[in-house]
Amino acid sequence: MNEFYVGYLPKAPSGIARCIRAVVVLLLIFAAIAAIVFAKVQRTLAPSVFEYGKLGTFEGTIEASPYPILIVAGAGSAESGASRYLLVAEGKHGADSQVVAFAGKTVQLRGTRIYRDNQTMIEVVSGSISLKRDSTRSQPPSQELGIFELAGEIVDSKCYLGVMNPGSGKVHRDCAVRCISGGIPPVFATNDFNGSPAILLLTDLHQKPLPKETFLKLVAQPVRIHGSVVKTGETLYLKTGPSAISPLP
Amino acid sequence: MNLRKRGIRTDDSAPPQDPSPHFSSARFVTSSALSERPRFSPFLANAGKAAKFRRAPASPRGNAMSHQYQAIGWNRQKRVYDVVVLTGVALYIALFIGFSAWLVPYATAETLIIRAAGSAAFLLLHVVLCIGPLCRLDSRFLPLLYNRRHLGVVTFLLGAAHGIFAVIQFHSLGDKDPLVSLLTSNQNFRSLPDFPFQQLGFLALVILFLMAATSHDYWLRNLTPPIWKTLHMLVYVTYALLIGHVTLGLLQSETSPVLAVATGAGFVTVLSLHLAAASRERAVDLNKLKTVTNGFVDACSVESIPEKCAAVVSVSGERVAIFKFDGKISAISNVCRHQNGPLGEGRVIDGCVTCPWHGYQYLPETGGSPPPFTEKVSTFQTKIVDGRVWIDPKPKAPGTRVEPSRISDVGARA
Repeated sequence: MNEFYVGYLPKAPSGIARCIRAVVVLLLIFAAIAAIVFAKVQRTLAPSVFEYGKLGTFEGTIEASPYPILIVAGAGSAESGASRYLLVAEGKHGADSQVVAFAGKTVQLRGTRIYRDNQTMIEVVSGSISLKRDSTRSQPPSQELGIFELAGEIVDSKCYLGVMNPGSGKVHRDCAVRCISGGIPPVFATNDFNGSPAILLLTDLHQKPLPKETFLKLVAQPVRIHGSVVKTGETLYLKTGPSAISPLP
Repeated sequence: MNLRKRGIRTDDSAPPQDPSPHFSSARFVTSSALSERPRFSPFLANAGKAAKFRRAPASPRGNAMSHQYQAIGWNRQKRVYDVVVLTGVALYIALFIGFSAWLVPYATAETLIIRAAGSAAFLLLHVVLCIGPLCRLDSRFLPLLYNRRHLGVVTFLLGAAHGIFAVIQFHSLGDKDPLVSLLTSNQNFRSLPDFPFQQLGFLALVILFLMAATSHDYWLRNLTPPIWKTLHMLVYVTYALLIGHVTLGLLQSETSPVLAVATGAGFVTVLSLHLAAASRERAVDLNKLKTVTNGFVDACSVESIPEKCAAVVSVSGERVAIFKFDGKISAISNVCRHQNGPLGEGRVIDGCVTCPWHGYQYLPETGGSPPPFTEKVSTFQTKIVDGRVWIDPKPKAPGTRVEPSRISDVGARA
């Protein structure tokens, strides 16, 4: 081939230009196919929603421990006749400091719903909690469901319920670490709790928050946990200790 | 195509040296973008030769900025190149996000942006890496190389978008500084399955940034070619880091084997092209010239060199380009002073050896660029005996005039 390409000349020689046009067309076709294929083969994601930008007003009773929950009258489990909404703050922070003064009291707050399956969370707008009345709602009874050995993954509840999707797995690990470290309630996500997927709030044996430094290194990776499960309303708690959490091979 | 007489060189990598005072009105343009790598392959036998290069001669005015550097010295081909690149990137991102939004409806917008930008950057890096060896194997690909630095800058920008969104999503609004979180959240360096892949991506992005930021020929000159070229060879380190980033991150989280196969195919393609091109160069290096007479070695036959082209031989560990033009033979170093382009794969245009990569030109008799340019390469003494070209393996100092051998002198004796 006698043609020689010099980039700063106005035009490429015709033979080279023809060749490059063909190469460019092939590359564009390849880019299009790659985009579609890569989009197609992505793992399907669970239906979880963060109603970003859609603020709502909620009224209910604050349950501060082990993790902040707003108990809202109305829908929910048949036994309690109420919904239990986990509360978190904005960003990667827990809402403990916001709710502590309102423990057991009926409040109104503004926030954004985050939900997955039958679990709902509210990202509370900072400073939006106001006291409605001191009267408290009686706690629904807790039900011991027994001792279990479950395989699954410890994740932060906020991302897992919908702020990020996927909110689990290795890619999300650093975020889960940051969220749990910042006070977002840790949950144990398992696909086999009595044969069904379940999301269980992780606590210590006394149903207090499990010290995060004891399990932070095991976040977002397959682990096995031995513990007892307690159900309060529609909320499941997995009571365990650091020594009962072990990585799966 | 009278380039030399115009006194201009409007390629994107433009002249890093100062114009002669006699040509102070000559037009100079330089441009910005990610660098052309000095050698396309780390497998090249003489990749280390770049270290021999000295810094380009200092400006007569002692001020490198007097070159009238411009951000980008646009010309038609560069505009066409960039339009095609941006079209391709836009097409990929639009299709990926559009189909993902349809097929994976619960994926968040940030997730789609992170995935689209990251995969586009990774794909584009493959293209960047393949262009070099493709051009060595087939010169018709050279238009892809001419503006490759822009491709590199786009790769960095896509990588930066991927990284910035990832840091915002995974590390911001927490109880630690986002960068501290990025570097400390996962420290399982001893575990392959748990290896902190995000740090690998961060390191790759830092290198891509350094390459993009120094891609302008202003930096090529001021960092000095050896340092600049070493820095830009780090593109291979970047690629290795990104292979790790993808393998230890995405591939561990996704279940489809298609992604693993695609990553493997990309790696094999890049590796194969480099090995193919390197083996072609190695053939030149392995062809030892043994016949020595009076200090000259028998290089090749005159007939084997196409008119206005060169034969490349390896003597004393250095590749030499032997050009035939206008009934004459001249030999100069095969390595362009700009970015180590293979001069022997260039042509003689307007009496000047023209580098195939960015069109840098050298007079074959002196190895010097025509004024106002000042690059110089080594020259070699030649002679023609019985239709064969003999060269003195000892290089002359760059820019040393050596009279070309006339092809009519076939009767001369060694």
